[in-house]
Order: sequence, then structure tokens, then C-alpha cells
Amino acid sequence: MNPSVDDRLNSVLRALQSVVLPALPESANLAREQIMLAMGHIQIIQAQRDATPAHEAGELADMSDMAREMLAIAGGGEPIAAARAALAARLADEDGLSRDRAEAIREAIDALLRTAHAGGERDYHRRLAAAILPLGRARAAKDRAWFAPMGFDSEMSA
Amino acid sequence: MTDTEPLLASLLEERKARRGLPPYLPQDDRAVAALLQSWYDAREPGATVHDVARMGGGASREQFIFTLDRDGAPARYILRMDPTEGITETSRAREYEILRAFDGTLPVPKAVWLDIDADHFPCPAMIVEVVAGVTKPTSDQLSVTGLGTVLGDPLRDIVRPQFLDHLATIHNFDWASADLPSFTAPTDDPKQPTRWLIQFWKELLEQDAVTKEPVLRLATQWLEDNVPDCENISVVHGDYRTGNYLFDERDGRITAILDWEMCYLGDLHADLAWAIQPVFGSHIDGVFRGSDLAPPAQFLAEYEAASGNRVDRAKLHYFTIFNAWKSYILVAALGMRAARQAHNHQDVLLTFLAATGPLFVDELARLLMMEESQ
Repeated sequence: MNPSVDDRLNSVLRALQSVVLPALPESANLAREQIMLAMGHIQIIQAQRDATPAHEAGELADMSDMAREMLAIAGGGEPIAAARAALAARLADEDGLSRDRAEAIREAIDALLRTAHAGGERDYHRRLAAAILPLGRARAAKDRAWFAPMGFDSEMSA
Repeated sequence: MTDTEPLLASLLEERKARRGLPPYLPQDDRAVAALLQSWYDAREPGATVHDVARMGGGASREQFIFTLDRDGAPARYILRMDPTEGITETSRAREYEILRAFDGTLPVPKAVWLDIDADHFPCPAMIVEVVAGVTKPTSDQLSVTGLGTVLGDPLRDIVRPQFLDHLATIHNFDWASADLPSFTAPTDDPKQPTRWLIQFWKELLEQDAVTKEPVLRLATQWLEDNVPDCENISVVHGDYRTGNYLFDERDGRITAILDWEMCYLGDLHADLAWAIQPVFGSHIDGVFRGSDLAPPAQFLAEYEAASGNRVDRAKLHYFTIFNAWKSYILVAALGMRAARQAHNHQDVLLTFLAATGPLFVDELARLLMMEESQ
């Protein structure tokens, strides 16, 4: 492919850095700050580009695992049965992009958590939480590593 | 209506109506200069506005610095204006009132004018005096103040006692005698202060979430189920940390406490847990310092000595969870929603800041797992 994605992004970066930024007066604080942020965004996106499909597939796999763990926990009455069925249906649906499917599973998980909490199913809810939290933490650790190049996470860079 | 402070409940309703507005366009610098001049023409005839310049930094308000010349005596001011949406949802009236309430008691910028209903400016606006100082050492090149700021030695030992003394002054302030008409004291029952707080932020999360993060749902439910009593209602700054004060780099003197917009009446432990949050601290040679001022144990002991207030470890833990939850809502819900709607002048910054979201999810999951194991 010619021009490659990298060729195109590099040319955008070079235009911003060597033409646009120098053309801005020193007093244009906000514009200069936003050019710098835009360049930072592009550079990080560029560095993550090849790994992005695997990252999104991993996110879907993790949310699917969380859903399966939740479905393996029995309990609750009729409203919970409906929410569980909706989650199972989302999990079985293999259409669409990984990121959209992951979000659809998240929404169904959220609905089940709300139903369990609102219905006063304390023991069932507690078991769901116990299953979700370590998986949620493991997922968050991957996302922290993914976004570490943004430079905000002092623990990741410590 | 949400079960929260009446003015905040109104804000939550008003913001729903703004959701469908077209993309926000940054104010034109020359138009702002003309608006400032006409504002002063009507209020201080003869005063002239010049050197109007847009300010960088910040993630919620559009800000312009300008000079006002009265009979040859120039003074510098800042105009703060609200874009359609931002990383916070706050009231300029409350910010104006609290700055005026603390004027003379604490080093704060003097709030001089307010256009709360956008009668003159295109959006709600406030004018404050400029205070000299920096939010971080000039050698620190980080662009987002307060995140990872390192004061270093000897500055941190000079700043820390002032920082804690000022926090003590805020928490021990006699708010009941102050002129704060936009604030409502939550005095119905001991849980009302924190219940109001949780319901306000929960509603923001419900309105703005761009993803249904399971750990956030569990955190919301835990916070609702475990609201602690608040025996003594204090002024809570709401964003008290390094990065939100100005200091004189020559001698380390704090010249102004900034960013009062999230201020409310409630439980002081929220401020303590906020100031020692991991994201606002530094990790150097294996030592974590909250706000780069002190390790948490030292920070809290010195606060108790400065304020006379006892730190309740259970409440501190509750508000540690609350603050991680609130931080996620700020960056990953409000900030991301504002950027997606193109309702802010700093969308590119908001999407950058949203990358801190997983840090707060991780922290919430860790803290909730501690609860589960007990």
C-alpha cells in the first residue's frame, strides 16, 4: 500500500510540527497546547496501531469470560432469570466488531447487576461481585498498560 | 429530580437540555475583548480593557487574561466562561460565593464580577483578579498541572505546612454564618450530606457514561449501601491537591488556593482522601507522597495536628473509594461525553485525560476486593 498509514500519519505530524506550530504566535497558548496534544495522540495511536486488533479482541475475550463466570452462578428469581437470559444471548451473538460486542456484553452485565441489587438478592449479588472484581482488576491492569504511554500513571512509570 | 442539593438537582436537569446542542465553538478572542469592554463600560465607565489573551491549561472552562486600566492604574484579571459541557458540572454562582466567603481568610483570587445567567457573555461567566504564582515548578514540563507534579526538596517541606493549615481553615470555617445562598446545608439526617453527594455523582454517571463498566456499577452500589454518618458538616473544597494552588517559586509561599468549583458542604474526609489519591501523588525511590507533599500517614497526622479534627479511618476508606469513583466519572464519563458531543473547546485534552480511566477502575476493584474479603 502506497502511501502507507505510517507515511500518512508521519506527514501529518511533520506538518503540525514544522509548519503549523511555528506559525502560531507564542501568545497562542491554547492552540499551541492543543497542537502538542494532537501530536502526542497521533504518535501513541501510531505506536499502538498494529496491536489494536489484538487489544480489542482481548477485551472481548475478557468480557466474555466475565459473563460466563456470572452465568455459572445460580440464584435469584424471575427478574434475574430474564437478565441472565439476556446476558447469555449477548454472549452467544458473534456478529459485529469486537469492541461493539464487548460493549454489548458490558451492558448486559450491568443490567444483571442492577437487577440483582434492586431485587435485594444480597447473597447472589455478593457472589457476582466476588466473581467480577478480580476479572475487572485484571482487565484494568491491561488497559493501564495500554494507556501507559499517555504518561499519567505514576505507578506504571515508577 | 435527583435527591441532592436543590441547586445541583436543577443543574442536572438543565444539562439534559444541553445534550442536543450543536458543537461548541471556542469563543473568538476579539469578540471576547469587545464583550469585556462593553461589560466594563456599563459598570466602570472610563475603564479600558486591553491585552486580552486566551489562557491554556484547565479542562473545564474557557479562560482569558486581560488588563483593566482605571485612570492609568492597570490591573490584571481572568474571565472564566463555561463551554456547553466539560469535565465537571458546576455552578459559577457557587464558585463566586465561596471565593468571596473566604476572601480575607485564605489566599484566594478575589472574585469581582459574575454573569450567572449569561445576560452579557455568551455563556455563564465570572471575573477574578489575577494572583501571582505558579502551579508547578517551572522546571516541570508536564502540561496537565497536578498530575505527576513533583515539588521536590526543599519546596515540599515549605509548602506542606501551609497546604495543611489552609485545608484546616477550610474545614473549620463557620459556613453557617457566611453568605452562601447557592448552597444548601444537608441537615435533615446524618447521612444526608454524603447521600446527596453520591446521588449527584451517580446521576452524572448515568447521564454521561460512554461504557457500562461493571466495576463502576459495583462501586456505585457499594457507595449507596454504605453511606457513613457525617456528624460535623464542613466546607469541602472538592479538588484540593497539588496543582490547584499557586505558590511563589522564590520562597515557596502559597499565594492562592484555586479551583473551588466543586466545593460543597459535607464530610471533610473527602478532601483528605482526594489529596492523597495515587494519581495526584509522586512515586520516588519507592516512596509515595500524596500531592508530592508527604506519605499518607504523615500527611494525615500533620493534618490532625493543624486542624484539631480527628481522622476517622473508616470514613477515609469510604471516601477513598468515593474519590476513585468520582475521578472516573470526571475523566471517563463527563470528559468523554463532552468530547463525543463536541461540546468543549478542549476535546483533544479530554480524550487524553480519559486514558486515566483504567487507573481508577483498577483502584476501585482493589478496594472493593478488600471489602469483599472482610
